[in-house]
Amino acid sequence: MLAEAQLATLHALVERSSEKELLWMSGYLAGLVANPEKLNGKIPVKEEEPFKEKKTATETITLLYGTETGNAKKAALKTATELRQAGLKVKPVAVEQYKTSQLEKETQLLVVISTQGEGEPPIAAKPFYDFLHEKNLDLNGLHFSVLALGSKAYPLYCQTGIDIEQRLLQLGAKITVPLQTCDEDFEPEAMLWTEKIMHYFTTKNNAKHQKLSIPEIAISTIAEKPGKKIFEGIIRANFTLNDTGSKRHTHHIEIESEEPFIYETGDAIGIVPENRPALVKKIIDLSGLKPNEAIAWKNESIPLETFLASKVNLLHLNQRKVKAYAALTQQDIPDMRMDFYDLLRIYPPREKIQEALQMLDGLTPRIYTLSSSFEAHGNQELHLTVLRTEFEKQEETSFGLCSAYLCEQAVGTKFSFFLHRQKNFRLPANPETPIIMIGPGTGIAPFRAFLSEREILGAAGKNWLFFGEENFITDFYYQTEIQNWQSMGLLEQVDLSFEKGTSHTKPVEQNILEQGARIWERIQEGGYVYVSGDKEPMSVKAEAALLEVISLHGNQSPDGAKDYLKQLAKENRYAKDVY
Amino acid sequence: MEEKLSPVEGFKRKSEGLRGNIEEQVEKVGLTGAVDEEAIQLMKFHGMYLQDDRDRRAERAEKKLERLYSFMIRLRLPGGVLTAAQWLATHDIAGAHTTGVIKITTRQTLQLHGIIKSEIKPTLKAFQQAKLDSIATCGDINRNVAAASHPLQSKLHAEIHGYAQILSEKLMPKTRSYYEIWLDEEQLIDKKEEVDPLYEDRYLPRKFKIGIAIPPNNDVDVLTNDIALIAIEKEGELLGFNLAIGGGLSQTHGNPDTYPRLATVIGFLPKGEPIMKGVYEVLTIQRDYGNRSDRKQARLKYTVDKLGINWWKEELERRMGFPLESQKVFEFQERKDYYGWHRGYNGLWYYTIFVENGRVTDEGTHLLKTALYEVAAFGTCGFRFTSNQNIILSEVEEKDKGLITTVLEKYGVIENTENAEPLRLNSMACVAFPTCPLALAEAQRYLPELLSKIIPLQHKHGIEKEDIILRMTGCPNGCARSVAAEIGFVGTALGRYNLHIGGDRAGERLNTKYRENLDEAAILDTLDGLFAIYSKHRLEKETFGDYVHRGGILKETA
Ligand code: SRM
Ligand SMILES: Cc1cc2nc3c(=O)[nH]c(=O)nc-3n(C[C@H](O)[C@H](O)[C@H](O)COP(=O)(O)OP(=O)(O)OC[C@H]3O[C@@H](n4cnc5c(N)ncnc54)[C@H](O)[C@@H]3O)c2cc1C
Ligand SMILES: Cc1cc2nc3c(=O)[nH]c(=O)nc-3n(C[C@H](O)[C@H](O)[C@H](O)COP(=O)(O)O)c2cc1C
Ligand code: SF4
Repeated sequence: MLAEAQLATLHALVERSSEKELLWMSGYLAGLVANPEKLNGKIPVKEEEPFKEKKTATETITLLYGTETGNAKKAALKTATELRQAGLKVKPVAVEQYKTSQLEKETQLLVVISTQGEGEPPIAAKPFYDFLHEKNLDLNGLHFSVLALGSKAYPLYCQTGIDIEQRLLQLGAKITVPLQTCDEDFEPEAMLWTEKIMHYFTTKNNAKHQKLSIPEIAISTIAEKPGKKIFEGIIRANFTLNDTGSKRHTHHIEIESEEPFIYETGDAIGIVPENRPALVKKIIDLSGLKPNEAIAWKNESIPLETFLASKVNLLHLNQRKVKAYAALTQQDIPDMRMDFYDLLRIYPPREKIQEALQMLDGLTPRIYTLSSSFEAHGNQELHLTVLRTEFEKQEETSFGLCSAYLCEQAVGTKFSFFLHRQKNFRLPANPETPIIMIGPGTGIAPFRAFLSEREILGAAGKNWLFFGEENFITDFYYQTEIQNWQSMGLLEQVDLSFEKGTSHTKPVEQNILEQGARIWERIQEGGYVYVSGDKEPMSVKAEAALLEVISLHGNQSPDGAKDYLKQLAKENRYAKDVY
Repeated sequence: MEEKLSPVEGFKRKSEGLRGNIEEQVEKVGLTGAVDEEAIQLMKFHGMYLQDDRDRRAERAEKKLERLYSFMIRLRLPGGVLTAAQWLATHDIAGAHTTGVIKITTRQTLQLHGIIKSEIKPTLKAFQQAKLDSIATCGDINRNVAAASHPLQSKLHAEIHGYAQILSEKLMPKTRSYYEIWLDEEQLIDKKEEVDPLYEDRYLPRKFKIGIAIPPNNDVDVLTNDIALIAIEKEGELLGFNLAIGGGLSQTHGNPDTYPRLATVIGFLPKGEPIMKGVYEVLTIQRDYGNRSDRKQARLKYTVDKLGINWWKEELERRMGFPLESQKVFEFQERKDYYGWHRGYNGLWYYTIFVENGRVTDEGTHLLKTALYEVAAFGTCGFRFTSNQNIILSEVEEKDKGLITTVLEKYGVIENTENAEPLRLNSMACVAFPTCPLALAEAQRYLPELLSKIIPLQHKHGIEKEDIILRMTGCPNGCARSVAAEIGFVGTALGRYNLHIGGDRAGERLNTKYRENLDEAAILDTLDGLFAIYSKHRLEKETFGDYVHRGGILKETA
């Protein structure tokens, strides 16, 4: 009656259990059959119950966290504090610092991790994630629970957390508390999860004296929140900031929100792009289906054309998708990212076209930092600074989907967006606090917002900007505004890094190093340091330079400098808006 | 002399030999591609002007970019002479650092435009490699010395060019700052070592120009210079020069105290030491008596009129220590370039190329720049530039003529020169838009097109063979000497020009403003009328400029 795998699990379980445990189990199973409603209709697959007496109250709980912008870390540390206060022994470790060889020896593991990109782990967590997926570990002795941070704005909601739970299960580990997902406002869900964890450990440790009980806290005490609030806006201005002859194509876009849009300076907006009509048409033609053919997707029935245009990602499908397509259509397809159109073209799905369409992922929103200030530009005028992403594909220049779409939109076009909060990327509360802004390229966006805000508020704090791009002559974004801010004294200093059009071609990181003493001075005065723009290589190099500055001028060891910067980050005095 | 000195005077005096803040301004990582006012003024003395591309102003402003700043560099080429190797170098430098167009000026030199701040040093270093510099081609100082360009004219030619060279060098500032700033020569510890008895620390109150002509051709338009030297010969030997002072063409719209003026001959000085001394002392008098508070009254012409010719003669004689001789008789007949191949008195060949408005570039089938590069690569000719913005390929031996002709033919140069209409060949326009900051109207970009509409009018009235001198400037500064033309257009606003008529052919009479603020239609209409009367009533061989005087047309001026 049982499938082979289930049978094997049962045998293994029986083998490892004591007589007493076996007795308890028989009762438990009988009880389940009698009262299925107790489980809210959920069969607690592998959900571990507190019957292992080997464990004691003093065992160490390892709490791994993987973060990009610090939310997961915040949540993890909060949980750790709570658990400690409850008398538990918790060791929080950043996942990139975790010795993976330890994993098979762990007994209690908590994972707090966010999802990035298109359902991918944070960069720092990638090695751990890959390790877990590539190695055939024996985690039979492991008990775990995952708190997954994410955003409902993304189609692959909390995917990394989900992946990790699945994989740990596969490797034999057992769930203590089921996966808890949380949206951008992660605190309430994180709290709920912490409580469940606490409940698990207290009941487990008192198991001898307690009857079986399913945690009392209902799975959903928190009301299902509606998705992101979607705003409508009209493009009021859209022009290239670069002069002719530039290699870059960066647009200044002004949007008028139809209703008041309440944000804080430093925030961003999210935009879900649409696929190009020409591509949609090509795919329809290739599919042999009619444009109005109904596609069943997420409990909806959507005409094919709409489905392709505005629901699913057709470009640069990740390996996972390509593999799934290969399995679906039973073809040998190399392990590489590919456009859906190419897949259909080179590896025709034949009668599986419907399924192939249904397996596509939803379109991922793109984030753009606002270059407007709430105080200076009001609650209906939003500015963006968008670089049209370019890449080579089949020896031709192609453009990023969303950035090219935005750059092309004529004045008067309407489009939808949502607020993407950047809680950690804020001007200091004190208007007198000095700030250092490192923002080459489109990294200038939030700093234009900051400077506009400090200007309108008459904030007295010293402002210092590091900017750079390719060519001084053609690519000095917001040059005249920056010149004005400098001549009115708002900008105390500006350090430029252009590759061309000037005899000063020092890269940003070198400027940081050369200005080290002064930067240190500003930090000592309580200054804030911000980095915005390309994650790689810019922000990595800028951070390395900042560490060197701290180490040199603050007389710190390399590790000391790291700790110092971490502390600054914790106080939101070192903040990044990088991508 | 109680009046407040103009700001430029301050910059000069505290500049320590024209150094000032140039280095700091050029080297500084600033938020701008420009330099500040002090550096702008001082850099002129080093041959550079800060400009911006005026065509791009509006668009850049919308993009929140500052103006598209760059520098124009003007070479010092006394008499307008260059070797073939130097032309090759200039061509390459233009390709590497500038807009690519090489501009021949109305004073026989070359200008390169569009050099961004960081490219100045590399450009000047490259020029230095070719033994070229831009010292004192702008600023309140003696400029490039112009000299009659065609050796066809006279045996005196070479000797005259010797004077241009010597004068240029003698009247250069003594400071080494050019070499220090741009060519990284080691700094002088004590700048006091650079005593400059001529310019002291004040330089001149204003720009200063010298030209040398060999009658009967007045191709250099000699009387428009602050100092005009008119070569006087006897039986083919140079005797010396008639010395004229106080030429200058600029006036300011709406400022009646400003006016164009031709130089006044004040006497004759023998060649050699006397003429050198005479020229030098005219500069010292202007240095001491010129107006240093109002730059619009600072040119020598105003100093001459203020103090009077007699006073000038006396003061000059006092300073020279010997008297002026009375002026010798001379006669100017024309202001012409001799296009095509001509043989010089020395037996060598010269080809004068028509370069419309002095712009050396490749356009359509007329690949002038390419042709000149190929010709220069042979190394069988020299390059000379004329005051009419043209090029003479000079000193060609009989045997090398063929090859040069083939190249000129191949790239359409000969066709462009020899098929050009007389009016076009006798016309000039200044730079104006988009680089000249003072331009009120288009000039070199517009004149070719306008001429194509005027020439049919000449045909209509049967005067198309006339060598009428027609010139256009984008403002009343008169860089293409528009007020010394038979027909002059002086820009007042975009698309609008004052029409001046009545200059003579030889450059001894300025023209007169006839109509104001004409647009193109009005220009064509007015000229149509004037050509009709001229063709009907002129005397035999009477020039257009002379006719409008005699015919009473100028009685009804604007
Ligand atoms: C290139 C040239 C015109 C051309 O198309 O060839 C020229 C171009 C300019 N002239 Fe000139 N002048 C040029 C011959 C003249 C002449 C004709 C001559 O000397 O034979 C005159 C009239 C004669 C005279 O000096 O009176 C002339 C009278 C001026 C003036 C008026 C001076 C005055 O007395 O008020 C200015 C404005 C100024 O100096 O304030 C001026 C200024 C300028 C400037 C530098 C504009 C500026 O001050 O920023 C122009 C640069 C335009 C550009 O983008 O290149 N330019 N300028 C000529 C260069 C000659 C050379 O190689 O040195
Ligand atoms: C917090 C945050 C703030 C941001 N702020 C800004 C900002 O202020 N300004 C700004 O300009 N950007 C900003 N970004 C980046 C922005 O969100 C987008 O990532 C960026 O515009 C690229 O999106 P896209 O749709 O144009 O490109 P995509 O289409 O997503 O392409 C991105 C890359 O994927 C690859 N790729 C895509 N399609 C294919 C294909 N078919 N074949 C092969 N390879 C392919 C290419 O390498 C390409 O460069 C921010 C990002 C974040 C996370
Ligand atoms: C560029 C980007 C991509 C994201 N992609 C996803 C995603 O695919 N799925 C998801 O659930 N959340 C996604 N998020 C939302 C983050 O997971 C969420 O903001 C989280 O709170 C970040 O936590 P962290 O600060 O610990 O990294 C994305 C956020 C950004 C900025
Ligand atoms: S005449 Fe006026 S417009 Fe023409 S180049 Fe001279 S200053 Fe400029």
